[in-house]
Amino acid sequence: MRKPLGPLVGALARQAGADIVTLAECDATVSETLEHLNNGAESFFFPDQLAPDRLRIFSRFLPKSVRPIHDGYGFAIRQYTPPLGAAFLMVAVHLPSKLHREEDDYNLLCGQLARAIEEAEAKMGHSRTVILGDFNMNPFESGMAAANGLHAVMDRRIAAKETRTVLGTRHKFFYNPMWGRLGDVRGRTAGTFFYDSGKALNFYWNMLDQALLRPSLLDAFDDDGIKIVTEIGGTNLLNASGHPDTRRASDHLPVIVQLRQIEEATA
Amino acid sequence: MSTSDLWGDLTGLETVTSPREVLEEQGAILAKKTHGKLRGDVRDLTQADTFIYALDIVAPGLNDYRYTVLTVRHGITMYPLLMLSGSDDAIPQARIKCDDEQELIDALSRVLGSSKTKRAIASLLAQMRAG
Repeated sequence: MRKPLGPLVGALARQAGADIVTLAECDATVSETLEHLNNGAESFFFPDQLAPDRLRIFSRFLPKSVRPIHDGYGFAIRQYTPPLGAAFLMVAVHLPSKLHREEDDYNLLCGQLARAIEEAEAKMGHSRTVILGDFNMNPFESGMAAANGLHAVMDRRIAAKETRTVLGTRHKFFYNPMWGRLGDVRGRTAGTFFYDSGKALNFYWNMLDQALLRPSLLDAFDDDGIKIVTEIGGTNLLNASGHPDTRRASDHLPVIVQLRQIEEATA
Repeated sequence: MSTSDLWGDLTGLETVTSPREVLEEQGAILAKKTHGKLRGDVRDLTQADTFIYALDIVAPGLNDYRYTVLTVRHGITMYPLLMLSGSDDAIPQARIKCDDEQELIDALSRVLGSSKTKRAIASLLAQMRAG
């Protein structure tokens, strides 16, 4: 039985001034979570009625401003139209655990996800897309970085080139700012998930929870626009060893992504 | 040099239905059963030498919203084939290996007839009525 995280989720949404909240492996019901999100909130969150079982999505956008595009195995694609600025696509992700999967599975899943995103972008006529969630992969794994996967690079300038042609096929870039958060230099933790595998190759910290942006969103994203959260309203999410405290909170640390108003001109 | 036929006798080859055709048939059946309110659409996601097809439920009344029910992938010989679907009480294995067409049909029957798929269909029909 997991610890109910509703109060922490609600507190973090208020602390961050969140407009959209996505949760993976949430045991609480939609109504329980809504109660915590809307407790004391100035504007209410609405649940996403179509989100797949593995994901919960809540947003403060009025339902008429949210357009469901595509739900698949471990992902949900939505278009949000803010009152000001251009519409954008948000892809919430929770890819399956590595427990029963091979690396090839992840490469194929990421390729399928990349294809679904490109189809959604073609349908909506723009590439103002952000993907976020639990990928169950690190930024350096091939599903995340390879051209036939999500093609997410660590350098804005490379991402800004928008595409790269590999073996005659054009692949769009994502920018992955989580590369810059690997290691403990910029924060209190070196990742979002800690696991001591005991194997010869042991990363200890993993950056499984990530946010990727298309180049057309880079102008709306500052370098400090992404944060790994270690404290919510005075509750420390880390234990004495500095690892996620699973007794008090989740085994994954939450991530906040902040975008400024998106200019209409960016496609 | 040689212009003789080296292919042997191709008459009487076994006629097989491809996994893609099996999925397309089910897509058409969904459209018929829901009087066109929903349809099944097969997307080709083939990567390199791996044939991959997704079976989506498409809701024309919800701006062509798509819900991917399952994907299948196979090599040039079609079987064994791997089906990936969301996990469900009725389908504890989200990854189902099918060794022949009959196993594919059995697996499809479990996934398409699962409570999860039925919930998705019911939810889409309800939202179209509400819209």
